Amino acid sequence: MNGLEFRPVRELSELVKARRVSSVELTETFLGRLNTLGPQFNATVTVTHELAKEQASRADEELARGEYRGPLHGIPYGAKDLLATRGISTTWGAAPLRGQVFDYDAAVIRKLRDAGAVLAAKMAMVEMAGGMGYQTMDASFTGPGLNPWDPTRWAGGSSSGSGSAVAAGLVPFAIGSETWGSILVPGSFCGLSGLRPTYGRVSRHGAMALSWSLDKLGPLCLTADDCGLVLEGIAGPDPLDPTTTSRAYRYDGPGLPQRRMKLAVPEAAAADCDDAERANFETALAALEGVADVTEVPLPDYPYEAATFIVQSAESASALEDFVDDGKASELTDRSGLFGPYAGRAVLATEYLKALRLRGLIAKDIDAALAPYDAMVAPASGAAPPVDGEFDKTRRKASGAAPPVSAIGVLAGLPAITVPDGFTGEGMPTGIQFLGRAYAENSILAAARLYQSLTNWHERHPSTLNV
Amino acid sequence: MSVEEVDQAEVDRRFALVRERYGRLIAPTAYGSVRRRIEGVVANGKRLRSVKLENGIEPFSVFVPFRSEDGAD
Repeated sequence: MNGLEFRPVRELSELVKARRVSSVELTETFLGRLNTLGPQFNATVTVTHELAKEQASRADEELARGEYRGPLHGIPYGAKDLLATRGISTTWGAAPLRGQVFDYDAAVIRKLRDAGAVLAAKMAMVEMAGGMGYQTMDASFTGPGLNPWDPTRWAGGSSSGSGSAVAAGLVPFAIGSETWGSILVPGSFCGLSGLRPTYGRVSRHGAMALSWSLDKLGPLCLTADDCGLVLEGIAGPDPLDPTTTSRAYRYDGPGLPQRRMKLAVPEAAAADCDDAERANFETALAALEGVADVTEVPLPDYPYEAATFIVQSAESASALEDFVDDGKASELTDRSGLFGPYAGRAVLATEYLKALRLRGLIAKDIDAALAPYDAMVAPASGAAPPVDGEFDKTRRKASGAAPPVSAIGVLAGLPAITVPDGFTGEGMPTGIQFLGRAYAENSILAAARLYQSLTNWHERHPSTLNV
Repeated sequence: MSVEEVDQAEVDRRFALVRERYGRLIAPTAYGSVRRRIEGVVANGKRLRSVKLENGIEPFSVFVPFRSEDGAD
């Protein structure tokens, strides 16, 4: 270890910019950790040694010429293996797609390359981003996604490798994707700051589609501030993804809010959580009440989860239809592939359209409910990450926070960030999420930074790492 | 809503459709699991139908007709 492993992107960036550390040195540090520690957690699909060294050398040359591209210049990162990378396999975590290679880069990969970042690895993930269903941790051809805080437990999914790699100090940040929980859950389980941007904030071009109107791409980092830095690097309109917003995004961190923030908390937000998650959330709320106005609010009464379920089921049934029709689902690692993909074919058009009609009402009513506040806070997970034997029994509770908040954010396309708010008695991290209005990433990032200024949970790292 | 409240005849009809189309891919031992998932679809559809909407409330998706920039009138 050379002291670079668990430094936030902002600190690494300052070292690289000042040329106190070269991008090559930084990259070699993280490539070494990806090689030695990555297999302990089944975190990687492909370590991109050659590309990383080439990009790092180029970054150093540019910096030597005084050509500074911004805070991601020379910083290594990992990309979930559902992002197309030209000439490098992109497996979607699925055994039958091991040989899949695209001849273009996903928009996010292009943007990060343009920002000077260094692609160090394609990160492991739940096969097909969980779109076929899964009942065990072992739902990827690279093996179960294991948690650096306790390798007998799950890292979360479907961005498993993105979460475990950042938590283990294998990369300073990683890109994940979220359809329903796939950034916030591994972020929470691994003790990270994980940002799900507003739908349309980041181009999805070149990313595996699971559910076109729900899929988002976002960063997993050590701090909320880092999430803002990375988001600025990957956000922006893209003619190749017509759902991207034309609204420009500029991160306004890292300072703390200059006024007292207003936070909403849903009624009974932690009622269904396990004891540790509830206690940590209540302690976090108490801390926030010292620096912000925290108001309990009722949520409009809608079938949020049913609508989200129908939208995801119908869209994934269509998006993955060819994969299923070709019989490839039966080749997946988790046996859910034998039966999981078919129920989505039973969704009626009227049910899908009803969900979309409700979605409009929900989006407007939730926006009205959030408008007076900077963010809504809720637990990010309801229970500790499961061990394999209890996986299917506890995953749903562990993944679902205050149940409607997760579905609300996903269905309405709203941004949310999870940051660590403590540990369970077994030493597993727990998280608190900040949910915002559409395009209000800076508000939720400010709230998260404010919380992290009061606590040091984000500065703790797993002690189980054996190099 | 419990599974008991789901219209089992509706589940049977949809399961028959799925089995008709995908029977070649679904092992008979997986029929029970597929059917249980279809129960979930039917249950969630029922939850959605329980919310009554006015006729004019449209799906929240915006379709924009496409025309390439160089298209002629």
